[in-house]
Amino acid sequence: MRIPGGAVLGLIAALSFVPPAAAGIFPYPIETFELENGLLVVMVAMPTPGVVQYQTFVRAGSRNEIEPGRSGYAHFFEHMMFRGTRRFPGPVYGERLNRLGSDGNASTGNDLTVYHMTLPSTGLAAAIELEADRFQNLDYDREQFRKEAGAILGEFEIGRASPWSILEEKRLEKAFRAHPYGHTVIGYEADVRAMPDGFDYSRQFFDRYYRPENCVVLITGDFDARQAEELIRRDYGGWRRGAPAPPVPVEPPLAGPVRDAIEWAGPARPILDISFRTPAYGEQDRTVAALQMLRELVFGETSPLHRSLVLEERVVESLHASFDLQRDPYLFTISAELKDPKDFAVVEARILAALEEAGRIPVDAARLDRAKRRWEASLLLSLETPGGVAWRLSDFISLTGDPRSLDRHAENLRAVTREDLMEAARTYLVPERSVTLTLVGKEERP
Amino acid sequence: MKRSCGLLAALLLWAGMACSEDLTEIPVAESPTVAIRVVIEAGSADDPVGLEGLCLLTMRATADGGTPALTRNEVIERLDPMAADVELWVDRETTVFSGRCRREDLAEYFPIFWDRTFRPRFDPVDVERLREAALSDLENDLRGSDDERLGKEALQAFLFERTRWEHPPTGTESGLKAMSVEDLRAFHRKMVMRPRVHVGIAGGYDGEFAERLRAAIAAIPLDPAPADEGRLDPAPIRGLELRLVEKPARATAISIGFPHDVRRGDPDYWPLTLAVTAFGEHRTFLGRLQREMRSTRGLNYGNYAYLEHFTQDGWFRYPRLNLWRQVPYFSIWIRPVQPANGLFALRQAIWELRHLIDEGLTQQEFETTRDHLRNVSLLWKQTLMRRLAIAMEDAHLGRGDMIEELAESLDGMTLADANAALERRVTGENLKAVLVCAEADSIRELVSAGTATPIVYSGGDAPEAVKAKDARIAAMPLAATRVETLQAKEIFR
Repeated sequence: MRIPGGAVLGLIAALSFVPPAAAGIFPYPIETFELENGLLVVMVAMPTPGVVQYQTFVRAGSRNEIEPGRSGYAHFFEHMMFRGTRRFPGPVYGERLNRLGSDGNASTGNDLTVYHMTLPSTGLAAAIELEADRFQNLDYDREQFRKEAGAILGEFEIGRASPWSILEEKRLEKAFRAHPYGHTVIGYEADVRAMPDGFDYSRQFFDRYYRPENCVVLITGDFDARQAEELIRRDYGGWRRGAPAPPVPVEPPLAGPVRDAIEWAGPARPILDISFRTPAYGEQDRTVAALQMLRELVFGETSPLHRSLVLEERVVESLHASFDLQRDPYLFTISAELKDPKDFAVVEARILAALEEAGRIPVDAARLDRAKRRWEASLLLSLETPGGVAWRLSDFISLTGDPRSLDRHAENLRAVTREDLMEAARTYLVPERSVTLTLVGKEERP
Repeated sequence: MKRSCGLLAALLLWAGMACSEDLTEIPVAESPTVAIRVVIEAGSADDPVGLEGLCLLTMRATADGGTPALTRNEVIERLDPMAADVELWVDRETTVFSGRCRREDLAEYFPIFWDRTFRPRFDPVDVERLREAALSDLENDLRGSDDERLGKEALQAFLFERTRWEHPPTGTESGLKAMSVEDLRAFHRKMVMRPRVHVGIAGGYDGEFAERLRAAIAAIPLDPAPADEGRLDPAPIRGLELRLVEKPARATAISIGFPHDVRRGDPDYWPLTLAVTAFGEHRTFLGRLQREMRSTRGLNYGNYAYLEHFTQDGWFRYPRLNLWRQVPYFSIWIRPVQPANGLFALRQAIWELRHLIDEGLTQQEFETTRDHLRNVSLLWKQTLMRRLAIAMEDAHLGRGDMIEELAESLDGMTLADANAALERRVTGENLKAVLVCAEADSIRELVSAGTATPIVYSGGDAPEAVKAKDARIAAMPLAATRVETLQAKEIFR
């Protein structure tokens, strides 16, 4: 069957639009403007006929939960924001968006909370009105607050069924003592269980961070930029600035290698988890880009270590490394799921040896080139939808407040040298900056 | 397994499609990317007795292994700079291979994709590694740490007990341990043949490539007489049948369902789609279940309902497509609740379902959901791969464009249509339910004794109207006709 033209081809052709050459790697023109109240608006018109993504994000996440006993409140707000306002109470807000065909949700991370919706472009004006209203006039009572706390506890329980949740909690707790990165986004269980009594604090959190100068509106897809700008100026123009937010505590250096062991109550693969304290995201040098490349080159599927541990010796079932770009110094983490806990020491030694080698011996130039090509191909493949474009940009806007940081990051990646890799490995991926955890299931103690 | 549909018309439609050597094409000359999709009519229901999991391991060894020309490591090396891969999904009756690449990578990517789908190397080392991973998934993930997935798989096993649809695609522990590399080769030889194979391509390929693809399809061996090996005939459900899957769970996960025979083409299909969307659309607050259980009572994180087998398509919250089923099933997914509220949540879900059937949707629910479906369906084809999957779904069913069909149906649909379909085709009485829970004995006693199970609010209280309804739900007789307990560590053994 060959699907002919008409509506089908029209949409596909547009989704597959080949954009004009741009200066950076990002293929679409970016337009930005700022309201007098400090609200940044980013617009990326791309030919996806009839479909648009509308994001509002708050540059606050678990990083901003600075008071003891209040972990999880940024995420809590992700939930409370759906309770509506006096003008559009939750059910009315929900019904209007439902009728528009909005596919929306929200998510919270360390550095930001994102409210996103994909919807037919015909609904954009209504969406702007609804979103502008709820960010300025959120209204909920104690009863609604307590009910939502029950939903949060339910979400906590979903995650808690997995050993990875406790591992992450312990990893962060060991790696950070002062900075709020020391707790998970969902928060400590005790704090989550105490949330029903946190109504007053929740209002304080909202007033502190849900302010125009701390938020960004991002629109991608098929829309009239001039009309959108006019509506945004009209609907968000009255939003008042807030007081300066309190500073986020600075984390002191890690006092040498840290270790701990966890026992999980149910069945679980033995897990070895090694993290290294790494620098905050920055565009001034290539350190972060080099660490990103090291993640692929030392631990990716084509790496010698992966090949030997996972494929040849088969002592490790899976080997992953993660290095998220964050506003403040964070972690480079390697996680290995083992088959037998007796191999913990051997696998740890192999991982550390691979890192030591990465700091001493230049990586093969062809491999570095392939890793760069992979990143660029992956970027292009991720830009197929308005949502894909918005998520890629929001990652960088949250870090620097500037969507063009994506292009600058790409330049840094392209420019990374083998010497950069060695320098980054020698400086950051070393035992004195590490937190090492082991996790075993109840019946698998070594 | 060649399937026999319940309705003659559906059978003819289906058989017609299955017998064609079809290629679904969506060419877009300007597209910077290409999507390829292969659907094979082979699934875990085709696993031989004693070798449960054979389809999954065969297909995984195919999609994750080497090819005649390249070892697995060589394949990975080639794919890596393209950021491309071969994705695999194995269901009970179909297996889907899919992949995407940049247009300029197609010439290099396609032979790897094709060989990784049709010409597996079956290196014993790869097979052994994947067998260990499958066993580990069964033991550590399914039974160990994913109570919701366990609940859903246990529900399907309960609905289709004593049939070849009972075990999950992951298989069983004994089945996975029993199979040999030769079993995998034989399964692949037997099942990956035309006319079971359906291929689709979309995006920036040219006519020359399409010809090459057609030639490749023509080279797939043809089964001259594909066997019609099995008909799924699930046992009738009598009343509420309850299965408790016991483990040291912190919270209680609940799945409820029943098999039915409503498929696209049935006049009740779209009215029921609307009604079930209004009752519990996946991951939204549109549904009545979510509003009543989460928003009003704070019972848990989510409460949803589905007309057909549902798994989410990656980051999209829409259904993964091309998972063709001989017998569809309706299901309700109640996300984990605090153990003290397990039976209340079960009662409330059934209560809401019965009230939906008895009283129907309200005019407002109908209109909101109708508008929602009209608009949200415009988002279902955002990517080349989604568009391809829908086109292949349409081709398989011998129907026109799904979204146009839905829009046309909505134009003529009334509230009465949706409510009549509910009354005709949905049951609130003959249900199977699975609870993944701790302390199964005490739950069993409460159910057997008909004890009321009031909701326990985690903070504060509820308005009087809500409390009054709570009391009626808590005391609603469950009248279970069957209650049985399975140990999670024994399930799918």
